[in-house]
Amino acid sequence: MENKLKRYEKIAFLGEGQFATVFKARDVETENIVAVKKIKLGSRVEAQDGINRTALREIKLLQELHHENLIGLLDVFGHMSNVSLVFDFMDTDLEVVIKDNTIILTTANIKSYTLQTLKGLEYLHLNWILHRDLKPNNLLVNDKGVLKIGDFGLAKMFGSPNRVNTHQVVTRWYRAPELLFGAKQYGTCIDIWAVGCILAELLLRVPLFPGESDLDQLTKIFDVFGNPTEENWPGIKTLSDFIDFKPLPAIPLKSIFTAAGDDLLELISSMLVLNPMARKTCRECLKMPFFSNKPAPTIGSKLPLPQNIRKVADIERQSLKRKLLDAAEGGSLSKRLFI
Amino acid sequence: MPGWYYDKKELRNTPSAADGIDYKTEMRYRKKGARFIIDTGMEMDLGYNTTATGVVYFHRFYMFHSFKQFPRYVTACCCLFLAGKVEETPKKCKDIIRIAKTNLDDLKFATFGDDPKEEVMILERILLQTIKFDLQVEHPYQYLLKYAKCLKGDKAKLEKMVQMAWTFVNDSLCTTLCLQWEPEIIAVALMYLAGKLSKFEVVDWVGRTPKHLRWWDMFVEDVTMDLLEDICHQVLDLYSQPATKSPSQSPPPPGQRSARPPSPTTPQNNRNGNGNDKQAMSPETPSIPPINTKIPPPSDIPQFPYQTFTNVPPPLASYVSAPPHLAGPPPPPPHLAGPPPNVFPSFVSHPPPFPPVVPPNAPPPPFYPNGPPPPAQPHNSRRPYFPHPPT
Repeated sequence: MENKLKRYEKIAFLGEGQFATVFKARDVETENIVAVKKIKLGSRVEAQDGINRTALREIKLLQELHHENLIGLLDVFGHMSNVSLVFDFMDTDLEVVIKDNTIILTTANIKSYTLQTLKGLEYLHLNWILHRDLKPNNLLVNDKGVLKIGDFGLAKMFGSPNRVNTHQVVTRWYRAPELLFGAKQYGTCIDIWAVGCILAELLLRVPLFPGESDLDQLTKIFDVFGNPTEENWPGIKTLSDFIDFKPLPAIPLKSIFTAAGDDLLELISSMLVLNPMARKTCRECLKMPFFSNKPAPTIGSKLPLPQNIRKVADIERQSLKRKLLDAAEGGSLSKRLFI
Repeated sequence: MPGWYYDKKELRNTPSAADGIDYKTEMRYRKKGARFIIDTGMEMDLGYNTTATGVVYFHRFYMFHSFKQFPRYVTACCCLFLAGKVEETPKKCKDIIRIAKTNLDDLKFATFGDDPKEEVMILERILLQTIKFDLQVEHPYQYLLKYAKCLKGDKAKLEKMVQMAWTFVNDSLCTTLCLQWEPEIIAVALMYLAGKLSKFEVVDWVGRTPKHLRWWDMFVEDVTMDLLEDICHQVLDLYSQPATKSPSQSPPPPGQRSARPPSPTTPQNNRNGNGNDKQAMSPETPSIPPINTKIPPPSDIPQFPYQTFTNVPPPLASYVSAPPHLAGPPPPPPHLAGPPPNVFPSFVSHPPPFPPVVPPNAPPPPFYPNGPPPPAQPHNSRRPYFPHPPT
């Protein structure tokens, strides 16, 4: 274990969360740049019940998963009372890209990011794993324009039909309506809903449904799609937290996404379907015309990224600043560790 | 990923052996530790999967550390604690320790020191490093079910066989098989054993091709009969060992021997999260004719004379005559209680590699309905169980 400590040479401090500290480091054996996430176990307060389950999930799942569009867990090692996870180093994430108003996101760019997200997610679902926390902030991008899904702290194996899951998953803005209605049994469709919201956000450059409470979240969703009924969503009234909304009409998506082509609108409306059973799967989405129509998705090296990333330089300082700001707002920092 | 499989020489050459613990003692420690994890897990309503993961961690841990250096019950608690978190069935450390305390005598509990929780917590880090963070463990159960779905034949008999195989898998955790063979191979071997003992002969299966001599050729390659036999014997050896007294399961007084052996918890409990118990216990399940007259025949709800886990295998009917061996001084596994000769199914229409019927002067099998077992035979002596084909 001693040599593992020497193997990763700290370059910079990236951030600190409730359960972990993240450093940018150089792997002296391969000369690769990596992110080392050091899980805190030392203090008794944090280690109430030993190593935290978020870290265990990441280790357990990521050790078995290998895909171009999923964050790679390169190594795990322990030293004294610490456990460290070594990940691919990722320069930025989609949240930064979306918020950076110097970046223009063309249809080809959006197609590339969405394609990479769906490919990673398809692999995940094929392996019976739900991510349960997809949001722009967890879609990491490196300087080669490769997008990787990160943060598996909420991910979980699914497939056991009797298994009761918590509905308190997914950051609210990206949470599917069945979760908001308290569904305890759900499947891959919750991740698809989140991808739909992310795709919409790539177009709008602001969140599609920025709800301020769970109720407000539902209201914002129904303002667009109309409220669900037993007809278009059979069984909805059996959900534990179901409440009736006053009848709202659906509005055409074209009026929200004025710049989007028909094939793109078709994709969005296949992912953002109120009834989870009617939502398309990753594979079905990938087969939709949007991905085979022109323009072709932008190749990685041509994808627009925030300034400086391709010029190396000061990126650590920038992202650190963002993290400190996040911390001040009380955001869960453990979720924003790889930038 | 690290390799987790060892040959028999390596299993005799462990840190404990280097520390002066002889092989038999180490095997006993492993068996008792595994049994303790299983019992504690069951008492806490942890499913078979979590419990089995804990046991595998335990066996792996002692391939790197000595039983002298790390007290086995502390390690066992720690393995169960970590397995609970990994398998998404978390239990608080203090609760595990509380249950452990009630199941261990004072002398054994003293190994937890003054601050048992801290002891387990510190060990967790050592455990994680020792098992090299390789948390995801597969067990033979899922393969049993997968294979069973492909086999054709009388449904009741098939269910009985799978049920028996399931129990053997439970018990195999008390051996070092998980350090020797992949779960697929263990599942094949123990299903084969159960098939022999329940006299269910698999002659056809879904997906059969002319290439397949036996059903498992479809799932595993290059598994020899010698290997299957060796695995079966390692499990069967458990039943021929004198049961050592464990505090949670004291043997019944002799007078009660003819009664149902005490089961660790109420057999009918349906509390567990697995959710399949009800199905398995439902009265519609065909009741299986009693095999062992020592165990009263089932009433309308079949009872488990012995069940290693609270969970019965998910989709199958309950199996009445699981071996009650570990509940006390071993009454023989019921299916073996009969006189030796006809216990061993004759190999009627199996493909060539199967041996002929039991040789005429076969010594008795290693199960002793009454009276103490004779001195143990050397480990590799050939027992009459599956006589070898002439080579």
